[in-house]
Amino acid sequence: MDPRPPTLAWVSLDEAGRIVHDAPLTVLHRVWRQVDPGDRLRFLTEMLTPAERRAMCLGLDEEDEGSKNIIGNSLPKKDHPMLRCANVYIFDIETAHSADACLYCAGSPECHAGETGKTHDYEPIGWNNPLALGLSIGCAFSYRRMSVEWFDTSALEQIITRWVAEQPLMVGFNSLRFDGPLLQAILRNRDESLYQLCDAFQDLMGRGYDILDAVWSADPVRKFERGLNSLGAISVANGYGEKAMDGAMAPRLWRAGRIAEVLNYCAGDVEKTRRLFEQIVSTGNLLRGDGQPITLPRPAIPQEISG
Amino acid sequence: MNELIPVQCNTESLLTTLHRVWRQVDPGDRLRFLTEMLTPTERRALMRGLDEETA
Repeated sequence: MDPRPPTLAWVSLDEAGRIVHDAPLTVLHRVWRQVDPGDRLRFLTEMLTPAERRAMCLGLDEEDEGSKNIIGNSLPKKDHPMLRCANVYIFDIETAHSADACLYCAGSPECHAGETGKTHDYEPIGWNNPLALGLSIGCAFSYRRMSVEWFDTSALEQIITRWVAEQPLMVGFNSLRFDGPLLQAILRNRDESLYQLCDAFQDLMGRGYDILDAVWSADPVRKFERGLNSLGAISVANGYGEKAMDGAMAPRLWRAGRIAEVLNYCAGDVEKTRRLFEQIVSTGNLLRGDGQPITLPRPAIPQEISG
Repeated sequence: MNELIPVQCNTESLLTTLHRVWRQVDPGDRLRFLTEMLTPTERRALMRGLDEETA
């Protein structure tokens, strides 16, 4: 028997006289301010996920420092205690062409429609043709330097040579199947003398930490479920914000000369990947696009530069 | 058109309601809600807790 006395409450009825239950978010808004502030704080401490707590604290940092969405302020405000000066790079790349660009002329599918006097049929590049996709720009964040650096095709040999020499933990999102192989293919295609470097880079990438690969390995059944495992979906679920744009836009902007937008976009993805990685290092958990947590292996963090 | 009518019922405490609905709210909505509703004092208290955990 419930000892509390019955009270009056307002309920909403639909046309058929059935009780309409308010959405949980509406209920939350209704009761939040009525709860005692002390109880509310205990509730927050108990119920907020690490990502939610971090997001609230990061928001406070941003308000305090007046920083907004520009490259300089995308760098971490505080270094992560377990990653301080660690030999770890977080990286991401942008392709020069979209996967749906034409293999023969790099034009969009639309510009082939109704074309007269055409010299070729439209054939998409696809995701499995790294040389045709090409590299526009790459961005890598170093925990040792606490800074980002950019690389394009002309700087590729130099940066990969350094990575191979330093033997860091290479961290990315889909880096094992996409970013790493694409960089390697470009380098391998340049000169036979670079084959050894490419093999060493492949070996380094194989020992890296690919967040998407870790998610797929933890739940192979739901690999391709829409809105579940993309960087954007996972970033939003964990409170690190939405991607600045659809990734397919980056090559188009690059070709249009809107370089800064692509650089900012690429740095934004590196930042999201970094935050997710730090959460994995701290907690071993991420929320996926459906808001459900997934447990991932915590990587070993190399502290010393080898050689 | 829905109408509001008063009914007699056994109510749960506000805190119980909060616990009941919290996890039912979409994580994205929850984050927007927190961003909107948390007072600076609450956010600072959370920040202190986080600092203590990671120290």
